[in-house]
Amino acid sequence: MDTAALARAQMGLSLAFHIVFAAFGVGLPLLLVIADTFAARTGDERYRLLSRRMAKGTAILFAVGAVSGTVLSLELGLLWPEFMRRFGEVVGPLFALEGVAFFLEAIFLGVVLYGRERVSPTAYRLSGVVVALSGAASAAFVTVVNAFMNLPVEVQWTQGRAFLEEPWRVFLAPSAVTQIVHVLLSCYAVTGFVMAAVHATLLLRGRDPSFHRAALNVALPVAIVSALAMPLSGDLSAKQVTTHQPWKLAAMEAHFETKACAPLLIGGLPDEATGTVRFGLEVPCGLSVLGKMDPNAVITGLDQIPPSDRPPVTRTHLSFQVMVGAGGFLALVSVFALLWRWRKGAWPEQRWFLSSLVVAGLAAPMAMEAGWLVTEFGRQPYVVRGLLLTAEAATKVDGLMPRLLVFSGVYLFLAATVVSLLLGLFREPEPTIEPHPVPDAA
Amino acid sequence: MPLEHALAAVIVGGLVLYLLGGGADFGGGVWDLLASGPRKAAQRALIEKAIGPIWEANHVWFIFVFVLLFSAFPPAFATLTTALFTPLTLYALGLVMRGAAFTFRHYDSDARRRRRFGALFSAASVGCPFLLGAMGAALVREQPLSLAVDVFVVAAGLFTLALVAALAATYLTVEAADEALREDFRRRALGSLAVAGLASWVALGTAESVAPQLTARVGQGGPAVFGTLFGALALALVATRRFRLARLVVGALAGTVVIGWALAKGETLVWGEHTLASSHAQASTMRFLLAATVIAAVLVGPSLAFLFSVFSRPPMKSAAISNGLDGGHGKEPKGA
Repeated sequence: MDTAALARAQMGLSLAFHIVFAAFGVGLPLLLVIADTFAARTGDERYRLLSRRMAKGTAILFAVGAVSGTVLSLELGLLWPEFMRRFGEVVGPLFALEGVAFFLEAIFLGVVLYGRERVSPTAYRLSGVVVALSGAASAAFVTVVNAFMNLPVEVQWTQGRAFLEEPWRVFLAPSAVTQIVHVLLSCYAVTGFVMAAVHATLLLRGRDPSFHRAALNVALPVAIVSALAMPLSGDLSAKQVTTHQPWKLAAMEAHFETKACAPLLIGGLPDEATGTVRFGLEVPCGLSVLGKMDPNAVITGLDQIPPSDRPPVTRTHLSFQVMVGAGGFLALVSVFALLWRWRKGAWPEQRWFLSSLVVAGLAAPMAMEAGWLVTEFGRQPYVVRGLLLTAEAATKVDGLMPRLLVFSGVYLFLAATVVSLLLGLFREPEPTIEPHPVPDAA
Repeated sequence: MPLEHALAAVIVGGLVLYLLGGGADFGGGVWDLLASGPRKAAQRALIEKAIGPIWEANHVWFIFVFVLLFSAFPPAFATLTTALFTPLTLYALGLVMRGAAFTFRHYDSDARRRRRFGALFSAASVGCPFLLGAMGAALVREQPLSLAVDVFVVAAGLFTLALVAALAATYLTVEAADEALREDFRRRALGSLAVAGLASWVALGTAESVAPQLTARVGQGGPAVFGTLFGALALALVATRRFRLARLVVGALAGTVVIGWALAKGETLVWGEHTLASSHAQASTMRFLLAATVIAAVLVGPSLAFLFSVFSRPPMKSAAISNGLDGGHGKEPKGA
């Protein structure tokens, strides 16, 4: 592998790792606030104990998210010096704002995790709200960086460096809003489904159902709302990409040939050399309808994109298929759970449903990772679309391989430790709960 | 004041706060490693309790400084990260290991694994400040930027290590609830202050050939005078057990060190390549960054004050009700 490929591998590894923890950093505070609100409203002891237990998990996941995020801020400079030199002025302020939001999140998380007995219940819940809001804000700022890279706003240049006369205009990156909505929803979906999966597993093992039902009451609404809003957000994103990032749509859909009534490709293995797709299922005019709400709309194919500007088709397409497939599964599970709840007044507890929740707990992070890959692959060969090639942006420092191996090892170690610690947490017996809800002593 | 000077001042201010907060966390790790004597476990428990709620917030200063550097001085940042690639990579590794191992240790129930995480946490806590000092020395040297190892760089690394250890030990004398523990950290504060004084003397002594500006502006100027004064005063205050005052003076000492370092650098960002004037961002970007700094100060300042105030007062409920976190690996309360 050449240096640029190694730099990409290391950055990709770091991001793929960080994203999951960052998602929990955004989603878990919201679930904590919900659990605390339930506890305060109902006086039900289960929610209070649930929130205490979730706080432990949050502390572990947040710590790993924070340190891996710090590494990323370093890696931006270490691996992509030319990107930082040319675009540091444009994206830097966003990272500065993200830093402020993250600072607030870290401060109030300190209160939430360690200060329960030291502040009033109102101050405690407000701290939780600040954590949830600042977590979402910091995710939004970072997403704007990505939106700018995908589709930059017009920048001014001096001495080969980009800048903005009005720096706030970076927020006008055309895909910013759709991307922020999509990212935040995915964070909530991942957190909700993973938490639901954990408690579904414990229910399947025949553990005391009362506590885990309470946990599902907290996790499932968040998971379901996000999973059902996701296709809408995805649709908006698809329209955005169709109009403004035709190269990305063409790669996502392995759409080689520009045409009206373009079909929607489901599955299939693209062959980039011949411009054909094997084993795919085509929905006639589907892509035209989805992208432009008109079956006869012309959809730009890869043939209209100069070969040197084309993203890798197979990787982008397959990532997209995984994302849509996994997301679709989450939506199905959600619809079923919602209907059942509506008709029967309780969450379904059939073994097959609980098992599918467990699968959803794996599918959700998979969908998120795949979605991130779609946006990254679909931007290639550029790091900032049209302005800076990825290969140019990469470091020229030699000897990245040993570092890549070291960091891979570190991330493996961290992941294994987190999993084993969380498993230890779940192995703890359910708290003893008095049969009748007692008013919160606080 | 030109905008780039204002931003450089903000960066230096961020570094001071990083040293006072994050630096003290590193120092806590150093004393965790060097915990000894009959109160070994109590020392470690005190360190963990002191770092606990604040640990993550302290390290955001580093990200803050780093981000401001690449937004406000992008070309210098690109050169700096390329030249200091290896130490920065090691620093990143150290930060990851430190932060993760600290949390893992807190929540692991297995004693043997807890010891291992503790070792990892304290080893990384020793490595990081050393690297920070060494990189600081490399940046102030008047030769092409690299991490060529010489006596000056090593002495600066050891000085930073001793300084953060002194910071932590002094803070802990205030935090300690019982007399014997306070005496433990009093001795440690005295020892680390003495080592820091010695190392600073070696660093400044060896600076003349590699960093004449440092000698001229710091070694023979105000910072050395103030540094010596604060150092001596800190020793005297710790020796006479005026711990709260000593904490302030050691903080002032750390501030003097960073400001002295910045004065020695002056206009130079990367020697021979970038100055503040030659590498700063456009005025529009710098104004935006300064505005963001003001917003940050308005939002973060009171929040931090709130956090510190929350943890400097006793819990509201009786201590018998564990909140399930202070005890970490403890069990859930059985009902409440």
